[in-house]
Amino acid sequence: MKKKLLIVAVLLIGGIIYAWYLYSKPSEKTISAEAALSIHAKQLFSEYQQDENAANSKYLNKVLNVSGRIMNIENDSLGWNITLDSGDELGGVNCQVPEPPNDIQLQDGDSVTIKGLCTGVLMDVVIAKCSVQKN
Amino acid sequence: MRIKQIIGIFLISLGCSMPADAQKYFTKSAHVNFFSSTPAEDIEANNNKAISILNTSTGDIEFSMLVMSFEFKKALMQEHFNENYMESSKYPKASFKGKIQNLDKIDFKKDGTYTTQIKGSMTIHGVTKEINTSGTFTVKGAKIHGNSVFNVVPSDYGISIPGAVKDKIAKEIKVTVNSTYEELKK
Repeated sequence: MKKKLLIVAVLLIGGIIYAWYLYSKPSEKTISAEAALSIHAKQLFSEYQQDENAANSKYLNKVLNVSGRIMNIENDSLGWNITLDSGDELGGVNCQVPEPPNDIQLQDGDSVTIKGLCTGVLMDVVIAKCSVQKN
Repeated sequence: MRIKQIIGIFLISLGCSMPADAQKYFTKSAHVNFFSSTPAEDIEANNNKAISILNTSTGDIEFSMLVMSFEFKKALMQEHFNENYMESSKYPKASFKGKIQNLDKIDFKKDGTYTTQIKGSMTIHGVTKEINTSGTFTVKGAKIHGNSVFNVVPSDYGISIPGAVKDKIAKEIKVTVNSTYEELKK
């Protein structure tokens, strides 16, 4: 009888701790999940230009590996803000890198692959929580 | 004498009908914060990627943002926000389209801080509502900084909050908008 009570108590406490862990788990700054898809920035942008709804159903809320050429890179309080060339003057693929790596230097024109979460399109296609790799 | 008057009137009316040089200001990095405060918990989220266009000759002002670009401290909150409340796969954007009501009182060419009233329509969760808000424009050199704080009631936009978390999410959510505009070059 006592043993049963003890098991129940342990399970209950374990459950509460686990629930608390899930509840208070911080948001990731940089996405850690594996990319679901790999795509070139030009392709991604042109699909969004052609049909936003269709592109959203393919890419929205998905982790993408986006490759492309840096059109513009800015360094601000939120990390690196990289815009990849889309081949179109109207917009690009905007990627926020909240935790820039120390070991690489990037400049306009560099070819990179960026992993992040696609949040949709405004003028640019927006990729959040990115990590970056130089090609 | 008469002819001079006619020419004078003609010149004045010509001057009035000449379209003022359309002045457009733009930003891709407007900051939108919302804050929900209850005795149980404070919840906050930030979006630094809103775009906004301000036309200083007509007083038109527009914002557009991606709902999924809001970032929360806790992962679970961000998930619930997107999946349960905002349904951001279905409604990926939120927007505002409005007009400055006191354009004549604001000199966008002269440094200073001006209070403003803005009237317009806000679209959240696929529902559009008329809103009135006040704010300030601060002109400094070539840049214009806009600030506004207003409340949004989730139920106005068809966002239902289940009973279990009702005491954790405020009835009115405080929204703060900060945007720094630069002149849009053609």
